[in-house]
Amino acid sequence: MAGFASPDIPAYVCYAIVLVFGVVVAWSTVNRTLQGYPDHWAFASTWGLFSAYAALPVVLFWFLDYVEALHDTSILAALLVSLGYRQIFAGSIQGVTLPGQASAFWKPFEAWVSAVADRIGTKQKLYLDRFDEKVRSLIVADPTRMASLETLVLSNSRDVQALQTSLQQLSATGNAEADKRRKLDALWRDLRMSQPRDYGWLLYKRGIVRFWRYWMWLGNGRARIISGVSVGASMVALGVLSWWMFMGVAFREAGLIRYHQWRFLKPNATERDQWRSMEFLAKQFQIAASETDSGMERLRDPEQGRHHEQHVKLLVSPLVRELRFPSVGDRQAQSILALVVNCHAPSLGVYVVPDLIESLRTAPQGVRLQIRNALLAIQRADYPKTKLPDTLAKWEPKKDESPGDLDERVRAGLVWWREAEQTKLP
Amino acid sequence: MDPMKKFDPNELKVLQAVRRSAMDGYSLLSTTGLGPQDLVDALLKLEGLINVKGELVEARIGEAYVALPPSNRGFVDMVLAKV
Repeated sequence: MAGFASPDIPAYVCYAIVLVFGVVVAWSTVNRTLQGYPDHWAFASTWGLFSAYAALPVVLFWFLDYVEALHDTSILAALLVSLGYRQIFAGSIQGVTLPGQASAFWKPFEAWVSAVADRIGTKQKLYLDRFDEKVRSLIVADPTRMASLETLVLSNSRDVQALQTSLQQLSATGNAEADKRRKLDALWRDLRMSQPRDYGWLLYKRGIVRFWRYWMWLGNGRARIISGVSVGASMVALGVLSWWMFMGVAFREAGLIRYHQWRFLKPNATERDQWRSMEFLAKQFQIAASETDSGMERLRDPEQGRHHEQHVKLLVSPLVRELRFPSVGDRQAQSILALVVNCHAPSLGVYVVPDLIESLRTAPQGVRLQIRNALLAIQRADYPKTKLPDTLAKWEPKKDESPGDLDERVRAGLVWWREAEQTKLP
Repeated sequence: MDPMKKFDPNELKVLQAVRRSAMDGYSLLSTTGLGPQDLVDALLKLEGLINVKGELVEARIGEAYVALPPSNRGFVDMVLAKV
């Protein structure tokens, strides 16, 4: 699947596709799974299940990209995962296989579905019992309601004769309250047997219960309130996200920089994806350099200067520091150094050069050579008056160099940098 | 769940009703047309296949809540398809 021909689009668009289709599929899956349970959207656990179903394809999509089963910039892969993630778990899609025991993850998920269904059943019984108990306590305490219930039951009973007989046969206990309860029980049971679905509505129509009580417990009220609150919360979350995307320029910029750094450093990114990020980051380097050069007056304001410095550090440091990672790949190192050298500017040197010099300590031999070449290129372009010392300029990195040797080179580099910084080109 | 198991007509009536929707005992009595004791007997025989919340006694069967778990829906569909 990783080599599957598909339009290559930005990863965030693919993740958005997976999420949108995942939400639609999750909605229909939850409705199908819990179809036997009326008002299932009235329960927080249903919404929890829905959220898990919606998030599952997104996590699976990321995971499949991580194990290189597909690319997260492939539009076809995004559609395949969002619509067919159950088949992927079942292993019935050729070319997309989950490694190891990952497919066993589906079993606890199914157990969770059963647990949610069971919980809904328990809660629904609880709500019916509570409604019954509340209404019965209201009726028994109010003679008018009791009389009204008797009329309602006698007019709706399937077997009036049997009901009247059972009412007459109720023996007196000598306790008026208990007698009233026993009569109510007989009437209530007959009403529930005769009108099992509409008894709540009939009680409301007779004025025995108020509309909100009927609506809340028997008339979808809870489902509507909880669904409304959940949809409202989702809309608020979307609103905040939109505000962040379209109004909070600084946040959006920082988010985009982090996103492109992630893509740029990702070992299994497609060439097109890496090129997109390279273009974005190069543009950001140029903007940062021109802002530093042209806005020196403005940047003398300490607050603005600090903000600008943080912005440039956020842009440069994570990339250059990646060179210190002992297992940094040749391709990654080459890309990072190409970006740094192509976008060199005297005003950015302070953010780039010290980190590059420090990276000489831990990088693999081949990468150390690339860093040295990058330092030479930057020196020639931006600090021509101060040459790199021979310790660095003529250094050919070897495989088994001791930490002491490396430290000597780094110290020589830092001494040079202190001098060079004073003589940089304007 | 034994696929070869034979279900009596009362059990099948209960299965048909709860396959459509979970419901309380009163609704189940009305939907299936069974008497309270027959319903209790059928529900006892269907233990493990359907989920019953509440007491399985004749006097309180109306207040029970009966549902078909999603994991057993496929089996019940197979049983009902044979009828």
